[in-house]
Amino acid sequence: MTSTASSPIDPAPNQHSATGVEKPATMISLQGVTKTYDGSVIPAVDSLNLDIPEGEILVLVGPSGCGKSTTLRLINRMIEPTSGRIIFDGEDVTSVNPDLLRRRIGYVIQQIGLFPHQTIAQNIATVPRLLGWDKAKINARVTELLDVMGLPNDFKDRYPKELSGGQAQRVGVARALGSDPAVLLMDEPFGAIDPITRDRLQNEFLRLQSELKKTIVFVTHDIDEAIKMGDRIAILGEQSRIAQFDTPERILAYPIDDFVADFIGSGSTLKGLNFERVRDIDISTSFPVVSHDTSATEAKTVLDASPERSLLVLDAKSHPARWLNDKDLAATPADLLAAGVEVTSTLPMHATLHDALEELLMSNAGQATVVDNSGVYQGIVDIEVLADVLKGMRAAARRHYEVHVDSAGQS
Amino acid sequence: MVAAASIWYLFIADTAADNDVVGGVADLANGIGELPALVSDTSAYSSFWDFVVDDEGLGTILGHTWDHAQLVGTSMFFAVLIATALGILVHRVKALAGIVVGISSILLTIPSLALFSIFIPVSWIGIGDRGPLIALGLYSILPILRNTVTGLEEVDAAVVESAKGMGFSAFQRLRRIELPLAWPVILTGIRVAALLNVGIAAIAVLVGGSGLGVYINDGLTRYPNPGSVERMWTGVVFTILLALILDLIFTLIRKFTTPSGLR
Repeated sequence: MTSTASSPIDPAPNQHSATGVEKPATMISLQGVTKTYDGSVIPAVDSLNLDIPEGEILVLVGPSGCGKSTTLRLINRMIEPTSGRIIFDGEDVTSVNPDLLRRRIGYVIQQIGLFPHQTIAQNIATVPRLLGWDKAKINARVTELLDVMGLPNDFKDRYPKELSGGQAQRVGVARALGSDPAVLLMDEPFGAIDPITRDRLQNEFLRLQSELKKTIVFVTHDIDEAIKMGDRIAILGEQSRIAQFDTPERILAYPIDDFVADFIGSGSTLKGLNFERVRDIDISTSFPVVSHDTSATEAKTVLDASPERSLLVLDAKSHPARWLNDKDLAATPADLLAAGVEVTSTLPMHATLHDALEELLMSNAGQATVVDNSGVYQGIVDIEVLADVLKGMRAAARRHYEVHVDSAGQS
Repeated sequence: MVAAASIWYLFIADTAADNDVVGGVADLANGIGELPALVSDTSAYSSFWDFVVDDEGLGTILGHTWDHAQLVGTSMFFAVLIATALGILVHRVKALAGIVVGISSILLTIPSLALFSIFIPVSWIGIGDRGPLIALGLYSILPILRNTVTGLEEVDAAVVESAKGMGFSAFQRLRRIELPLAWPVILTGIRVAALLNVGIAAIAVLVGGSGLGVYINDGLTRYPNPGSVERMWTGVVFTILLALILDLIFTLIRKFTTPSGLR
């Protein structure tokens, strides 16, 4: 997936559905898990119940010290729970050998922790070697993973110190995918990477995930990253109490309490615009539009009949061509295509509403013209259309919480 | 390391003088003081050369050098095993760090002549190479132990964390990640201990042991008779040569055992 520069948040196509209530199977289930560190009375994680859906990215997000990392590390028992049960793929793994458990779960940490004395190939082969795969199979797997991560094959014999931060993080992910585990745990995996590279890695990772369909638990403190990466988000408060557990679009549209509202911060409405695409909304087709061979007088009649202040002229191929206002038409130009202001940019159907907002703010006329793949005019998105959509999203989310008040998330 | 070896000779001289166990040991310092005379006086220089080539014979001297090397090598072998094991233990059980490092530090402060002599009354040790072997081994423990602990502690915590997270058992982590990464530091400890021991081993002769100390001791006993200074210099020069060769060997070991990703 390529990120459009205009959009800070760019989820994979069809990754999120604003209305779907589909509940996938549970891959990992934490049941009443509590962790109290030695010498402390207050639990770091207090009787947490969490069902991690299969094949999705679940983002654990919350302020520093809320226990989100601890929660993640409880899953592969890097931290042993004080009480409670961990069910992994239907099996109680609370007391199995933790080393064997960890070989079944990919693990990526912020500092990556590549083995500096081993080549990239050896690093990626770590878990397959622990599992005793034969050499040919390991070799093939390493080649495949380098390819999947977009790393050149001659990286095999290089050492970690020769890699840039972004490359090292790709190798880190490749290593976690080594034995093709069903589950990946990622603890702020892109936290130590510069913003541009991070954006690229996030997009690559989402594209990869759309093919791999791993069950991923992803920890971050950055709500924007959570919104971008998560199929579902669990917003955690003190002691890993789940404040809200839902899809990003619903959390943005309907923060369940002040804590969540504060945490997602201002601008959540704008962030929500990233989840809707132009093709999925009712775009306005009542906008005044005339063909290029219409006379100026006729065009003026059309404009006068409409509440708008300008009209759109389409060229011979029905592509949006010019914006004309009252004044332009008063001069009764012979050729409409020579008058008014040129339409300099258009919006494709697959653009997000965030793109649409940017487009309409930038355009002279205060509207974004929507075209199909061949550039043919489809309609207009203006501020009222966006406002209606947002109102609809909020209403839908509120309805969801009123209807599902008992089952909504984990609350 | 030549400088270090020489410093150790001075140290030995001092220690011996303080303990006043062997009369005339203090004169060793005077012997070293005669160095300019030896270098400028060609007759003295040639008499040193004559001693090495004709009187004593290079073969005999190399034999003593080999004995000396064996003393160091054998004691080091056991010291490395014990000290790295202790280092790993201390790294795992931090509570032991104070005690273990404390004891090995005290060991290093025991005057060498005393530590060499202290085992003589023990029935199965007595006079000979056994006492020196134990003493040299004890002296080596601290540098190796301390570097093992430091080396293991310097391994990037994220590397250990990711190894654990991928399912390495504690032993696999130690063998495949922690020890290889700590190895350059541990090796430095072994090298320091070995070179230190090349110097100290010269004292073995005083408790009936072998090695190049024989020449120094002979020279001291005969001083100022002819040939005594040559004997002392033979001991000193070949000890330094042995230290240099050992240093070279360690450089090679380091070169060939440091994983290329760490170089």
